Amino acid sequence: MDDPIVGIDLGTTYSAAAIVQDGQPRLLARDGERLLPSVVGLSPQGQWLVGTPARNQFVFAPESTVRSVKRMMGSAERITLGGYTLTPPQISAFILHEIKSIAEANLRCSVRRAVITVPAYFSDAQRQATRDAGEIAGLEVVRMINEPTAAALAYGLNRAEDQLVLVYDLGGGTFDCSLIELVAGVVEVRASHGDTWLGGDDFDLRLAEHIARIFANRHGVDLRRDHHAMARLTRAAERAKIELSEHPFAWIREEFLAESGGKPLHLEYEISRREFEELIRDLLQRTLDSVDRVLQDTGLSPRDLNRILLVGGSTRIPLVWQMLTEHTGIEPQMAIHPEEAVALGAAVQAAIIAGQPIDAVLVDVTPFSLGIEIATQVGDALVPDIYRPIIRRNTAIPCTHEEVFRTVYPGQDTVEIAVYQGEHPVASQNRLLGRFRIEGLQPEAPGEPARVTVRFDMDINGELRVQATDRKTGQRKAITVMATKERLSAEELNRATVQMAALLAAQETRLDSSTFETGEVEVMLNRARRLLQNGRLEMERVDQIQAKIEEIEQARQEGDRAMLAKSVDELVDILFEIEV
Amino acid sequence: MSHKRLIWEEISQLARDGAVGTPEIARFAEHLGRLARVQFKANALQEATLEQQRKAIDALRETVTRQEETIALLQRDHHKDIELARHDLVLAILPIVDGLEATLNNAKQQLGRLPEGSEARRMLSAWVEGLLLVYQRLMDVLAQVDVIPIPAVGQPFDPHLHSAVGVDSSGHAPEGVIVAEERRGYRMRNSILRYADVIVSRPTPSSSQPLHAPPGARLRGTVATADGTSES
Repeated sequence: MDDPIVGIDLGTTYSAAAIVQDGQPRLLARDGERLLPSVVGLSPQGQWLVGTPARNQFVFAPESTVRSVKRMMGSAERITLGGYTLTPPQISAFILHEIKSIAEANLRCSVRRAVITVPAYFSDAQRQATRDAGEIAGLEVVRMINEPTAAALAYGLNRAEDQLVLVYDLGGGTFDCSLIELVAGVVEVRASHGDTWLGGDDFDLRLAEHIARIFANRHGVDLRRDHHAMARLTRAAERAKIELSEHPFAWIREEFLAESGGKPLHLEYEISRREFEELIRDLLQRTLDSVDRVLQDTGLSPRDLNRILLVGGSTRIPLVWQMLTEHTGIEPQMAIHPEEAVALGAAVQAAIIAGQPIDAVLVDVTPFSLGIEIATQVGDALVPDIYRPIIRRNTAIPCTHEEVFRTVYPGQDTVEIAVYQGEHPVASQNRLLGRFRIEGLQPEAPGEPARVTVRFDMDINGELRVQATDRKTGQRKAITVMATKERLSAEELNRATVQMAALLAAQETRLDSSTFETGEVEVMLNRARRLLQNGRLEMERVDQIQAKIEEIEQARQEGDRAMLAKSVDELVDILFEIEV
Repeated sequence: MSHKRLIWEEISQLARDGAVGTPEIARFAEHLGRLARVQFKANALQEATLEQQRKAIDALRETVTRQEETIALLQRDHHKDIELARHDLVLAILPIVDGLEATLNNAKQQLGRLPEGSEARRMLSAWVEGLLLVYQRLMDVLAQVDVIPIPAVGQPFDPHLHSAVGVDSSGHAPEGVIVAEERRGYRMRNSILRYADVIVSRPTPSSSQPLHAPPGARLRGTVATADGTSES
């Protein structure tokens, strides 16, 4: 690749780089790591550290380690590291320089140009500081684009119809939400609002504290006073949080977490998604307030929005999707990995500037929701044939989702699982993919209805495995059915296929009519044109040949066979006289 | 359209016109001229066909080369996938290794509390020995796939191998030396599977404050622009 332009997401906690290759944007990884912690440090040995090693020394050497320098961009602050006094752009430059070398190792050529993303709310001074950082790192910043704009580009919205899009970006430590308007392929940020101290880390902390309280109630030991135990608990909380995005329950197991009177204490707790959701609901409510502010600032209502894009790892939490849907009436989109969307979008912008061909980011998705038939109690009546989606439409595959259901009445020991594909609230109005029974169910507590976990696993080929597990006995039954899968949308697929063909054609030696002419007419025309190109003919001959070529082409256009034959013959005569 | 037939027709015409004489020679010359043109045309077509075939062979050759490259690439990807799958599996097993180690450490402590020579102590001791064997076997399996623990306690702190989770200011060890391991680190071949979480000696407590928001000290702030900030 010659003088490539890389797209860089210069984030508060993590940074990433991406490039468009063969029409597809992709992230550039090192040792399998796609995200670089945005941390810079100077080791006691005087070695500059960027990324994980810098983060590793933060606790030991906080005075020679800088985190979240993005929050300081554009300020007059000076940072002292070891014997050096540096500006925020100089610190950022270390991160950009590291990204530059990751890109160079990936692309095996020198990288000198970049598109860098900045938050929509960044001031001119903050933008200038970011540009300076690029220059210090040896990168020409060919364009700076807003993060929500980048997300829209990753979703290919610059090639879609005019629309209003809300970009909801909930990362590890910051939240931003922006309203962007697309007019004739041009993206403009209309309003932006956020909370620079809200993100996934807060959710981990809430969950860890919740578990610590439960542990204290059970064993009378306060883990919050034990640094080591709390570190283990926070890590376990983060793991559980991630698991709860796909499963309704997660086990938190930590052996020998503490001691009481010489007796070892273990933690074994099964947390439900609902429990976790109640812990973070108020934090998410604050993000909805920001959404309202943005709408207010632009004088719009949720009805005016065409779509919502989810960006940032924390948007994988199902409650985010649910609360946003309830609040706005629009189902948000997350087909592209939310952690990667901004960097991928920056790469798309880079490709546009470089004039590179580019396809939509192809993501395999389920075009329809997949779910089961359930019955619901409404008052005294039992309403059957209700459709409950388990995998929502436009979810990227492969994916796994799990929900828990209970039997209609206590003592019921058999349920039938009917698997449907579609969007209709009445189950039987959707397409039936298959059904099976699970028998011998037992209640977890006597007299209670039995509970069954229903798990949907959809693989890349569209094969859907549905498994039902009795929570009490652990016995399970499963079926595998074929569901529909698609690449984003038919229209997008079409466009991608056409572009793919064009790309392939450009790559291959041309096997088209210009090389494989079979007709005598083409052979003679080509021969004549070659002669003209040689440029060693007398003017008179040139005129003669050109006149014949025109005659032939005209005859061909008009479909005059006799005229064509005559003209070709005459051309042969001329060529013969010249060449022989 | 057969050029051979054309030539044949010309020759037959000549044969029929077989008589001699000046006008005949002129006609003969004309026929010859026409023949030469036909031959020229045939040659031109032949050349074009050969040229096409050459290009087709080149294109095929290129396709074969590209395919070979693709196969090599796929094979490399395949190996990478295997590595990745192994990497993920080992990473999932490590917390279980941690749990086993915690169990063993605790058992040793419990042993110390039991009276010397007591039946309970002998039984627990034998039980711990058995568990130690299980642990050893697990570590051997990991070593077979090149998973090796990262040395920590007593070593100088190296941010490329260790992650500092605390400092020890007691001064029992020289600055920068690891005094305790909170969670063992592992490497797999040349890559770090998991950094070792360690406590590092730092005898003189630092007077300078962390440069940025240490965990726990969180500030609140919001930012907004409503004036349609566009791209720079």
